[in-house]
Parts: sequence; C-alpha cells; structure tokens
Amino acid sequence: MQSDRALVRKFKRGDAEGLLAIYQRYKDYLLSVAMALVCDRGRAEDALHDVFVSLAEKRQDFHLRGNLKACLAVAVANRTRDILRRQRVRTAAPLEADAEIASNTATPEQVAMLSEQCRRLAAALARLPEAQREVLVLRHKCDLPLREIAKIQQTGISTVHARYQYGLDTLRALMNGELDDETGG
Amino acid sequence: MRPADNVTRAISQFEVKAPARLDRRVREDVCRAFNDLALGPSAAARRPGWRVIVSSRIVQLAAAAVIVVVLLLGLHMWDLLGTQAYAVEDTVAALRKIETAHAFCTDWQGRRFEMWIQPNPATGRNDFISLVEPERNSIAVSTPRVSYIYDTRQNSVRFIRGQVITSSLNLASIVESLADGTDKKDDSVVITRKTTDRYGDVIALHYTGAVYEGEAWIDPKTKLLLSLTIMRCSNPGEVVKSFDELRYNESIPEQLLHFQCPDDAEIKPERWGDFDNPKYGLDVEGLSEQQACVKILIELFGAVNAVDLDRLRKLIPVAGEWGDPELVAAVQQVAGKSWDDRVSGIASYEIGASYHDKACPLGVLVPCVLTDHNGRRFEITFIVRLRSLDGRRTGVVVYTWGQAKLLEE
Repeated sequence: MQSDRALVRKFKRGDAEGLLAIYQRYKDYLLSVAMALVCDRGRAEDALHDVFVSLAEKRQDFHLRGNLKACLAVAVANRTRDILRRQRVRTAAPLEADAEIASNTATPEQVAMLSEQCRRLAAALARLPEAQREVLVLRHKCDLPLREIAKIQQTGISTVHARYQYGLDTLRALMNGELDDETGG
Repeated sequence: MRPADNVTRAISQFEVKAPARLDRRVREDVCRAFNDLALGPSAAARRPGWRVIVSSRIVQLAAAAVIVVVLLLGLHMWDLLGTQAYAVEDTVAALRKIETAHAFCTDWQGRRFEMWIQPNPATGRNDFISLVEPERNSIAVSTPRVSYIYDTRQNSVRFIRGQVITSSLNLASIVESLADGTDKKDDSVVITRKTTDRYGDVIALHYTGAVYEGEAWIDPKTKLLLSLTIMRCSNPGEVVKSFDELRYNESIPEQLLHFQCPDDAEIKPERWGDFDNPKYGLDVEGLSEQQACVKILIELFGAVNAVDLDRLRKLIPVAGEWGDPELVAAVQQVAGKSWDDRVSGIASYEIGASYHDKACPLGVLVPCVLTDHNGRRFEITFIVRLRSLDGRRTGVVVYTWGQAKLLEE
C-alpha cells in the first residue's frame, strides 16, 4: 500500500488516481466527521465532495505538512462550517435529524450503514449548539487537542473547555434520556 | 466505565459509510477538475473551495512552525557557538535576590502604568507593591498590613486591611511558571538569543501555553528579566500585559513608601471583604469542586438576573459593604449596562471546568461564556473560593479573573 505522502506526490504530478486513492482511504472517516458536524447526510456528502474537488483544482499549491488524515479532517470541518454558515442552518430538532438521516438512508444497504447507536448519537449531536458539537467531534472523532481546536475556532482555550464540558454534559444527558427526548426513544 | 466515557467512545466510533453514488460523484468531478487544469485555467479553478485547505489555521500554523524551527535552529547554533549555557532557573534565582523592582508596564487597553515591587525572600510575597496609573488617576499601594488606593482626581482614599490581590504578583514566580511549562504536554518554552535595539544582545525566552504566550528578554550577564510581554494565544498580537522595562534595586520613592494621606482627602470604607467570613457564602457540602463551583455560579447568575442585591452580597464578600450604586456598577461589567434597568443581563451561560492557577491563590478559576439578550457572547473567568468554616463547606465568589472578553459574533 502506498503511503499518504506518495499518493500526495502522485496527484500533485497530475495523476487523479493518487487523489482518488486518498479519497478511498479516508472517505468513510471523513464522511463520518462531516456527518457528525452537520447532522445531515446530504450536506455531509457535499462537504466531502467539495474538499476533494478543491484539492484537485489546486493540487499544485497543496503542500502536505503533518498528518494527511488530520489535515483532511480539519478541511472537512472548515467546509462544514462554511456550509452551515452559508445556509444559516440552525440546530435541527432531533425528530427532523432522525427523519433526515432515515430519508437519506432509504435503501436497506444504507440503513445498515448507520447503526442504532449512530442514529441516536447523530440525533443527540443535532441538538447541541454548533460550536459545542464541533469541539466534541474534533476532540473525539479527530483526536485534536483542545488547544488546536481553540485555534481552529479562533477563540480562547477556556471557551473551548467550557464548550467541551457543557456539550459533553448535555450529550450525556441526551444519550441517557435524562433530558426531554423528542424522538420518543 | 463512566457514562461520559461511553459518550466519547460513541463519538469516536461514529461511522457512516460513503455511498456508491458519492464515490461516482467525487470521481467524476475530481477527474473533470484534473482535466480542466491540464487544459488551462478554467472557471472551476476560481472556485473558492481552496481556502478550505489554505485557510486552515493548522496548516498555517504548521507552516509558521517550520519557519520558526528553521530560524531557531540557526539561532541556537549561534547561541551554542557564542555564549554560555542558560537555564530559566538562573533568572528565577537572580530575581529571588533582588531588593526592589521598578517596572514600566502597559495593560491590554494600551494604558501605561508603573509598578514598584519589594519582594520578601522569606515569604515569597511582596513586602511592598505599588501601582501608579496616571491615566486612571490612581495610586495603589499594598503592604502586608494595610493597603490603600488613592484617587488623585477625586482626592479620595480607600484603606484596606491586609494586601490586595496584586500583592501576590511575584516576578520570580512568573518566570518559574515558564520553566514549569517545559514539563507540560501542551506548553513549550524556546530559548534563543536576540540582538535588540534597546538592550543589545539578550536571551529571549518565548513561552507558549494553553491560553497565553509570552516573550521575556533576559539580561545575559545578570540573568535578570529586562522585559516581558504576555499575549493571548487565541488572538496573536493582542497584548494582555507587558512589562516594557524593568529596573532593579532602585530606592522606592519616599512618598510611595510612606504614604501621607492628604488632609482634605475623602476617606472611603474598605472595599475588599473578608473572604473567609462565615456570614458570606453558599452551602456546598458534599459536592465535588466542579459541582460546588457550578452551584455557586448558577446562584450568582440567578441573583444577577433577579436583580437581587442581597443575594449578590451574600455570595460576593467584596460587595458585602458596598452601596447599591457601587455593586450595580460592578455587576454591569459582567451583565451589561442595562442591568440596573431591571433587564435581565444574562440570557444563557456555559460553565466550564474549574482549574487551579498558581498565580491565583485566592481560589479556583472557573471559565464561563455568558450570552446577553442581544446575542453577544462574553468569555469571563470567575474566582471561586471554597472553604470549610465551622464544620461546613461553603463557597463564595472572590471576583473575576481578568476582564470579560467579547467573543466574535
């Protein structure tokens, strides 16, 4: 298997297969990150698509510094933030989120792609404010330190700490059914 | 396993499979983009999507880090070739031997002020500290027994028993905390040599922590601190405080050392309350530190929103003896100017995890994000003091740690 750097070199030389191999390698992970951030399959797919098309368009300017997986995850996070901001999407109600997920996973194959736990988590994440949700996802899905997240969110570390703690508490309560769960279980 | 662990594990294990239709869509558009580029610039190439990658702060920071490392490698080699070894502990030791320090400083609003510090090597605290703030018409002096704040414009003096918070300022401890940073995972200290216009060759000590970063210049001969600039990491270039110039072992001016209260000056009552007076505080028996802080701050925000001055006085010892206007003015700093018109100041709040800071011996620090009714969000950190008095565990709000910071809307 070729290394990430070898694939980057390949696509920078003009070979689309290098970029498509990177896509194949990380597509599920990146789509999961996007899905957790926007709680909407259509927008998550758009974000992932846009990131890779952008890479293709500007491949000659791309210089890999550090870990490719983390770099792509941050790019996806930035893209989802742009999408949410542009479309003025606000936190969806759990029922809507669940319905949206269900509608986008209409085929049996796609339904199987999203486990029950993931559906519950997505519905709970959808109820969190965007900033808190982003901190939790970047921390636990992308393994980024809070300090790095503070830089991404362009805010103080204490704010990120607060968002993290508050988001985690709320999410825990939602997942344990301690808060009103409009999904009706 | 704690429930929180289940939740974090669920996030890390959250997985969605990319459908075949997305694969096809990405393949088609990626190939099209490659072909477009091979044929020459196209409209597609002007799409703004690239900033997704380029504007990533991580990539920018990584780029900056590479440059810094290259520069530092060069400087470090120069350092190795040309000078003696230096350790931060040298400066800590040198600062512990000083008799006085005279500092010219600038605060986050660009206001200049002057400080005189006379540390006590035995206690590590200051026998004398003064702040002369011409732009605020204020002269403050603190000693272990008594402190006073003289308002030069109003010609009024407020005496305070004991030392005020700033009396804990200790240059050796500040530098020592930088040295501690080298042991922390997320903190870093980089020591280099610099040639400056003002001091010639200096040892530059650059500290990057979780919240603040700073650069200290050290005299290579005496190892004493020449200047120190502290900035907020989240907003590079935003100076929180800077010690622009430091001089040592000068004589403290007589008029500061032995303050003579002007005969016609108005004497105001003591401002600082007794933090361990049992008449103040909220019962937090049986609660963890975090739970106690949350309970106290919820009570504080509730009292603010209820415009309940008595509840506030009960919770904030320093406000215990304040009149209503003074208390209202203080709360307005947190809750907004409209607060005294009985408009609830805090629409929502987020209370973060409490933490300890050596620079704040008065209590535990609790960062909060407050949102007012105009949707503006402020970051503010409270000092919460938990104490056991008469067999009961109670807590009070000492004050805020620094000022509220408006977050980007």
